[in-house]
Amino acid sequence: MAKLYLVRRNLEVFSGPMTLAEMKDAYKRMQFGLQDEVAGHCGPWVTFEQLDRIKKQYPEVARIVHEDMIAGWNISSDSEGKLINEDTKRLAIKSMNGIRLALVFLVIAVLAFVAAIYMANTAKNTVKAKDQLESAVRPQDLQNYLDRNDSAGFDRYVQKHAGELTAQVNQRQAPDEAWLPYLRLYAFSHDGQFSGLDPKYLRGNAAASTPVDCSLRMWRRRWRSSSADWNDMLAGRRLVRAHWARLIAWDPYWIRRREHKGWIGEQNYYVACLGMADKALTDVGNDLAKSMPIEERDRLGYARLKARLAWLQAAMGTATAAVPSEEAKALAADNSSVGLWTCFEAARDFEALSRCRRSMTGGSNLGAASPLLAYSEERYGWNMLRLASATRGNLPADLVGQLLQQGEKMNPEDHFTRFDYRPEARLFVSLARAGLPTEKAIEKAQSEFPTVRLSH
Amino acid sequence: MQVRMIGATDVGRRRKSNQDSLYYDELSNFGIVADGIGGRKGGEIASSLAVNGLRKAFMNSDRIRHEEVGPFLVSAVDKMNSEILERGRKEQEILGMGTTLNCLMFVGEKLHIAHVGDSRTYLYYKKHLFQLTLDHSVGNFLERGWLPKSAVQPGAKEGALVRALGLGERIDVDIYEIALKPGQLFLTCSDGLTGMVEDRRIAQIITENLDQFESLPKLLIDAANAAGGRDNITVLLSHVRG
Repeated sequence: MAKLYLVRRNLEVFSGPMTLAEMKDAYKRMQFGLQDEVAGHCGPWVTFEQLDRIKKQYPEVARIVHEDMIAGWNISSDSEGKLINEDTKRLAIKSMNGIRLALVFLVIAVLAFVAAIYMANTAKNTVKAKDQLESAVRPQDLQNYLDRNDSAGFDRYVQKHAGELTAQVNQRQAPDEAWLPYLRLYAFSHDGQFSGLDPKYLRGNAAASTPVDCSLRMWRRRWRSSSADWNDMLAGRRLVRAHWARLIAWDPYWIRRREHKGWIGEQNYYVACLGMADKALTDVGNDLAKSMPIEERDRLGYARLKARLAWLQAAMGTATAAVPSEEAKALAADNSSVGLWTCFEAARDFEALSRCRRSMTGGSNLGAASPLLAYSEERYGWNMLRLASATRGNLPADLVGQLLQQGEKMNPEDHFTRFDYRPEARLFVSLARAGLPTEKAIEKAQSEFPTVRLSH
Repeated sequence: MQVRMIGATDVGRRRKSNQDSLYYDELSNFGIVADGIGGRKGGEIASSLAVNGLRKAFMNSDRIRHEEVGPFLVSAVDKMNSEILERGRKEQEILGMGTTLNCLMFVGEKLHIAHVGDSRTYLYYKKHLFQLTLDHSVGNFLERGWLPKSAVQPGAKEGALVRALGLGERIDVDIYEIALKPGQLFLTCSDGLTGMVEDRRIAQIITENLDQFESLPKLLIDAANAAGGRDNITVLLSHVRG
């Protein structure tokens, strides 16, 4: 019987079990990437990019990793770089003996010096310990840097005390809310991770529909391993079930309406995650540009993705309808899934929203057979509700009629982004079905979902 | 897909009480294994609170679609964590109790697993055994760089738990997802089995006795007891049929 392997993607989803040939095939179909892990019968999980470990645990897998995967990305493997000529090795061993002797003397000298210093300072030690206690890390210190707009000082402080901070957090010496906002701020203004902290800690449980790991490193991997799928999603040929595809489908106003605890200022996990995804996409785009003309890279969908991410970031910062930039306007007129969604989100009145929808059904945006059509209908409905809730007073009867009609197509839980629209659905019921004036409808729904800002 | 489920729990040969809890419902395709920690009484209470709480949350929920399973499990486990902490605060003698948890939900063509701690779920398929869940132990977290060495107390064992329900206000739940295929067999168990019987031996026992599915839990428990039975042993088997 052929050996079987199981692949674990993003520490969450499994593919397989599959044979070596099937694994090779699955990789070609971009079902997993180098960042993902593989395990064999009763064996440990090893990431594909750890070539040395793969060679040790699963030598038969190492061959395809090297030939098909790493070669495909033009990356040299670590172990190849470490191969040493035997003669060089022998010479190195001889010279190592001399170095070792010198090191022994050096260590003895250093120990004697340290001992002398220690003796001299014994009397001062008690005072020092007291000082250390007094200088223990405190959240207030970080807040002081922020209050002074001293981001360099903030960074220096975090870097200097990183060990103590992670110890405090991991040993739960302080409540989460004491440190978490600052650690998140630091992590996501750098590379989206904090050494020693579980990525799940940075995310928290509230943003359960988002990727666990939104670090720059992970986003680079996601974008790299998915470039062949970009156009399928953008052209509306299929809903790609991957984090990057869900990210570009995020509804910025849904995010805006939610309360985000444990973050500083306007930050939240969605904004932070988008920021990292955007930076990583730029890096991947630059890498692609080295191996292909810019036009070809953009044909993969790169430019559309960049424009969509920029729009999402702009729209998340506004209350009800963002003013689209020139790039966003161009994207909204584009024949793509993200173009259509941007068109909905950029609409500032019902007429503009209807125009977007007409372009969808008229085929200029998505084809009539697109599997994204029904999903886009739902998004149209939520944007209709967004505009309706901005109206103060009674809604015109024809609009109520339209809303009711649209409500039949809307699901309170977005099956793709996994966003929970139940509060919005409640507002819809009060507004369209019960016919309450907008202010009253918002008030009623708001009382049931106090943490969601439905007037936004 | 039809999923057959069978499970058993055993006190083992050294412990006086069984702090593991097990629940499964073949009709709903739902199962939970929890291994209590923190003293005899506390461990029992924590694991049974977790199992009963999740069971109730599942029973009281509307029909759950597969995309809703992750958020449902995260929020249910979060709620159980708060309840365990709250109960500990009220009763001083069980303060500090906790539990591991492995919860299986078969929805449509997929299995979703919520995992906290070091109870495990394995996949057995065509004589191959794969450990699906990652133990939330000090050793694993150090290896992955999720825990700095400075955060580990001197003398802490590699197998010491980093995550469990009841350890703190914050609970991080791993949610796994796997597509179902006929012939797959999922083994969910407490560390009373995996601490005593090596993975290869477990695979061998399953391979040799797959045709007697009903007796497999007992055979695995017997193997753990024969090897010393140092801890409580709980086994839940879920067999996917066409």
